[in-house]
Amino acid sequence: MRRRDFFGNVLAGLGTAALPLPVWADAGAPDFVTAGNMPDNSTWLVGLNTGGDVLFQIPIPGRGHATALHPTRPEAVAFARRPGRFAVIIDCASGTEIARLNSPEGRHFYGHGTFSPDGALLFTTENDYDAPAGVLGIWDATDGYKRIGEVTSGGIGPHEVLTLPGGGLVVANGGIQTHPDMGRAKLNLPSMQTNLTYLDANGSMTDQVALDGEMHQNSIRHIALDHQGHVVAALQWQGSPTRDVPLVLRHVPGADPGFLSHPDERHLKHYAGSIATCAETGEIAVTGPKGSHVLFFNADGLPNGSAQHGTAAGVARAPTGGLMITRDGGLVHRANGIETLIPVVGDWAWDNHLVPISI
Amino acid sequence: MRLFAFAAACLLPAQILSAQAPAAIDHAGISDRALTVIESQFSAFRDASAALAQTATIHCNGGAREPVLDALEATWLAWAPLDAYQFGPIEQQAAALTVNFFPDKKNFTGRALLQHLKRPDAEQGDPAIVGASSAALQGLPAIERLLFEDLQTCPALVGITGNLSQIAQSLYDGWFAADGWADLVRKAGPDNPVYLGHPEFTKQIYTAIDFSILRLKDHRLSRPLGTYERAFPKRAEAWRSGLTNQILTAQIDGIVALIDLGFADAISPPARDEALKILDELRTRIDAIGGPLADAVEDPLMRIRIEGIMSKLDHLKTHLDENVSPDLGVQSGFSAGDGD
Repeated sequence: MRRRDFFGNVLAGLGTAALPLPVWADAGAPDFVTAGNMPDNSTWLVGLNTGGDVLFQIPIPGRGHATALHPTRPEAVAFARRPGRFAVIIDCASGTEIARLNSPEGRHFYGHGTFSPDGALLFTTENDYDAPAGVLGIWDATDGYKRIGEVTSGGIGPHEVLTLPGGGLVVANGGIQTHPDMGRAKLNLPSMQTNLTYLDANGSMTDQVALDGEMHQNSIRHIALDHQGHVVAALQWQGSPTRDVPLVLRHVPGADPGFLSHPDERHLKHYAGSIATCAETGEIAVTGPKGSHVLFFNADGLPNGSAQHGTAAGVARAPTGGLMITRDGGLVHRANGIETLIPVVGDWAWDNHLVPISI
Repeated sequence: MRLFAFAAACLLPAQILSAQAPAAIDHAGISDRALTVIESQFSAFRDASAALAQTATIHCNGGAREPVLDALEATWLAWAPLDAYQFGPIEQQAAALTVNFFPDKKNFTGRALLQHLKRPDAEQGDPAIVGASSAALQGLPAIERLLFEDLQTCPALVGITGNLSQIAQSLYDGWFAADGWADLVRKAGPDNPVYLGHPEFTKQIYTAIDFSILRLKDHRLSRPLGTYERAFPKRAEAWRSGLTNQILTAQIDGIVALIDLGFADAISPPARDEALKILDELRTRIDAIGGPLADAVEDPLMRIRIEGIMSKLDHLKTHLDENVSPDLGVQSGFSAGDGD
């Protein structure tokens, strides 16, 4: 497949896909999907609503990381945790596996992916580990999730990828070289380069902003869009552990990335996990599962307090307003600065991300 | 009521932590003892690397080759147990690849050496030039090739061994100089930027042993073993110098040191004795392969012995997971705090 026409293939495929298909309501109308683990080390894909009810739990073959959700059909892509070589497409209505994606020879998944706005294509962040280079794998969701190509991600270690509202993609290239032969070891910290790369609907790079100077080791890993559609990012500091550095940035196109500092950022132990913004207020929440802390910023990027939550991991917009956070024991809903614990039955240990159903 | 539920839930993490790390385990003691082991291993590597650089310089000024070979052997065997510590200074300084670019599936080392040997002599012998070059040029496999392949050995040998010696010194300092990684370990606590408590270092050391077993089985044995129909003798580590089997044993010795001297009596005597017995059997089996690994993988009888070592490594891992990790409070489990 030629790189420049991959979105064209999607539109062609859609013309034949107008069949009655299941929708998310058929899967119990969950509000969120996350990966979770039970005390017996079993691994699951879990559908939750805002009340903390487990609406479905479907076994997955290994520890998950993030999930990509089809925009209309109740299909979830459960990615294995890095350096995983499989992703499972699950019909959340029936609990059955629709397809299994195996990374091509010389590639492994990083645990994130995203669908094109029409749901016809799936993009996966992958490691071309012998190069080393980052790529986005392209899979045709209208044809059994067949792999139809790949494009460069614009850097080493692509982690989270998002679909932009106007089309195109933004990729967080964390900059860290890893190799499956070396486990999860980071192999290039002194020379690593991290960036945000924007791709248009044809897969061509349209913009790239790199962190340089003394911030070149502040790995951009997880991203979200703020209330104005700008990218905000959660960072993971790979430099000297004795330094306190900002762990959040916002990028407005055409400008340099702006770091958002917070007086409690040291509580995150240099590791910002998930990031999400409140649709109503623009508040930014950044989780720190290593430090069991969550930082909050106002829409203008100024610090707005923090909270201690055990293994605070995933965060997502809640359909009822505000933000929902996964933590030990269940969920926390935060709206207008007020936090409410929502226990979830079962001894779940949530994996890193909470993904909202966006319809 | 809601407030009560919230407060109760807030207690959960502490309960979980205490369940995983019983108070009876002296994790601070484990940290101190493990650091003693690690210090001796990194200082041995630093000293051996310095001797290698010195003998290389003498050799390239007309001296004998044999002392360089002896020093290379000492340096490689000193590194063998260290390649398990893929955190702290090794990770911060990207030394996992620069010291030992292995496995090298695409001959990056050969290509980097050919490029380097095209440089002027002064650059070939300059450790700074080497240090700014490909990771594949900087380590033990590159030195081995200079000494055992039909290549111009000097002055590149001086440049590469000089750079390696600097890496070894820098790794030692990264661990044990003032405010080094060892101090971070010793000062574990709520305000520590890396270790919230000593149990985290115990878990890191346990994970290092786990990785060491994986490296032995998957990379050092399974890759050259291949299949009965097709073995891959040149995938054996250090096959040119014939150090392959000794490296296996040196890595086993590193695991023995961590379990016997590091974890020591934090593990129940039966569990520790059994682990050490398995490790001793591994050493015996490596001695009894009957030839260098690169030859052994092509001999049907010796292949069976190699497969026996791999099975014994599986047995070691099972024993550690079932009987040692509970004693240490580091049972495998899931936490988003593992990071990604």
